Amino acid sequence: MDKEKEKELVKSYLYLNAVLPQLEEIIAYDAEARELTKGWNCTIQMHVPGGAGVRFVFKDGKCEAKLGAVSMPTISLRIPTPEAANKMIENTGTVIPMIWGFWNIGKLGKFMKLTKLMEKYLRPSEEDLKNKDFFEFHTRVKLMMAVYGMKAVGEHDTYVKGIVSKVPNGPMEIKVLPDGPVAHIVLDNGKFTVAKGPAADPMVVMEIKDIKLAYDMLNANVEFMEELGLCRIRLRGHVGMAESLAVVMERIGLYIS
Amino acid sequence: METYKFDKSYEWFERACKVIPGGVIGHKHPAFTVPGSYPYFASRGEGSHYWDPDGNEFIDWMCGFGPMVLGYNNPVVDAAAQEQAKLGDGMSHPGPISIEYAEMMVKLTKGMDWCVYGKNGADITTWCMRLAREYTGRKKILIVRGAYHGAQAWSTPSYGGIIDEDRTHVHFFEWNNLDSFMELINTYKGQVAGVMMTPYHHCIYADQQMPAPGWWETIGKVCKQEDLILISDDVRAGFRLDMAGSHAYFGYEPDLVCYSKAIANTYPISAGLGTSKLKETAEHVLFTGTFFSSMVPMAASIATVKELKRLDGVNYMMKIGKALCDGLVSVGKSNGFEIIMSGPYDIPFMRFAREKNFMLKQLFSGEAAIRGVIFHPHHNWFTSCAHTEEDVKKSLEVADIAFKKVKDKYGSD
Repeated sequence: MDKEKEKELVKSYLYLNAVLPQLEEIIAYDAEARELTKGWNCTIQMHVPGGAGVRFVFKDGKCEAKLGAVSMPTISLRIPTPEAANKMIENTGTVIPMIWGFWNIGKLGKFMKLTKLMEKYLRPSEEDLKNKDFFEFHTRVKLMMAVYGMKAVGEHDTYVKGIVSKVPNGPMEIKVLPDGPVAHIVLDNGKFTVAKGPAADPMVVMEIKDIKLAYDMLNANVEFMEELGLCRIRLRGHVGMAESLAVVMERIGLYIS
Repeated sequence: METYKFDKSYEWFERACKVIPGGVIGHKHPAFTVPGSYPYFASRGEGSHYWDPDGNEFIDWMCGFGPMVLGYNNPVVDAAAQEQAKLGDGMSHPGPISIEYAEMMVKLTKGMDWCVYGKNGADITTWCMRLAREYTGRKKILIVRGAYHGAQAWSTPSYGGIIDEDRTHVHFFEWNNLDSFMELINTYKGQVAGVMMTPYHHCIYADQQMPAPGWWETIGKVCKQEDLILISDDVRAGFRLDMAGSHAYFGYEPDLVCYSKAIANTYPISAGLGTSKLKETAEHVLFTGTFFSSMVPMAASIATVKELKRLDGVNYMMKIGKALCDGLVSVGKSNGFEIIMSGPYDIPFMRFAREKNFMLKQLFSGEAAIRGVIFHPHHNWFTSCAHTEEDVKKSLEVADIAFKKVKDKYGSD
């Protein structure tokens, strides 16, 4: 695969498997989003055939994002190529996806509104960030995006796959102290599984002193090695594994900002 | 026992971060120990001990990651170095001492006929790789997966600044696995210039592995059959297994030998030695650096070798290492832990048998460091001729406390 095609492929996985799944968090947090999806009992999915896919399962007022596509969702947006998926999400070109479930067009319209709403949380204004609650939520979403992004990059970026092939299997847990978000990623022979919450038996744990530092780390406002030395970020366990997976996380920035 | 604080280390670190990327470069960065439980800087050293900027004193089982072999500020070595310094160091020609140095190294090292000198181990390993290519007219170099041969683009275990082409002709096989070695030999028949290997496998984050019976014999035989250059990277183990080279200890016959670390008791120098068949080719592979011919480290190296011989250094370091290793296994056991020590006694690697992720070892090492004993949590350790039985005794007392702390937090086996 040529470099340009690979870049589009990885980016599409990042959008569909790391960015869009955060809708789950946003619907749980945002009243407007909850109102838009009130009473829904359906599955809406977006996917590139043979490539990235995500589906949102709405039930009992909740939304659960799942990676990958299924054969009979309520609504399916089938996007022909990774390039088209990226254009659609970046709003940089006209893409007409093949839609299954047209009779649910009302829901689809609302769903597209939801994805627009994400913008507020993913690219927040300075004003919004002054709100402590919003700031914490935004940082949580960004952390989850980064962790899910590690899977997207780790499994599809050729350079990173080379690194990952040398990393020991097992879970890496990332947690924000004292009681901030926690997520973990499990590596198993080049494949990643991502989940929210702590890992059962982590190979390595990264502890970030507080939510402000997590925000700064995720926005590259601080230098990682300095923070380690100053004990504001701590690693316990297989430091070599964390060092390698940090490269995977850093690589996300090459694809999306 | 009172525990140490590292306030000044942290102050220095914050200052360092303003002008040095990451505050400390490379493998001595605090992140590779247990930040918060270790000093970040060393202010002075004497014998087997050093002191940090806070005035805390440590028994050092890292020996500066290997180079300290006779003790910090060894009076004999330092006197020789200072005497040379008075005469001059980096002048416009190499000094006659460069010949004495080369003669000494050639005489010392089993099977070698000539010697070049550089600054770091990686200077030599990289040049030896080029020399093998020049001599054979082939491109491929075979190395063991997980082995460390320096931080050059072709060999660094890190990732930054590396392009695929840096390693296009470097291929990896598994230690003690002849099938994986032969697979590369057969796959790249007629294309392999050389094989670079450490005398035993001293990888990081894992038990060290000694050569299996017949390993070196077969590697040597295949290298001869295929006309490959066998390069012994003795940078880490050199002068700690056998003064004639670790190949003498294990009984193999390399074409090239790489030394650094222990050969000058912390003075910066490395050496590459070769057999006569490569001498002429060596003239055609440019090997130079502004400081390669500095004379002070050569004087230090000559004095170091004399002292190591006089003290029967290798045997002493093994003896003191055995006392430490056996003691740790025993103290660990008395606290309910099975402790695995791997590698030679004077270059040991310690691990809790039950763990894969080093959390127990990190807590153990951190608890030892705040009580004045430097064990590295992830890297092998080193012993020196300056370590004493008293050092071992004190270290084991501290280890006992550290094991108890591990038991309190994680429970015994």
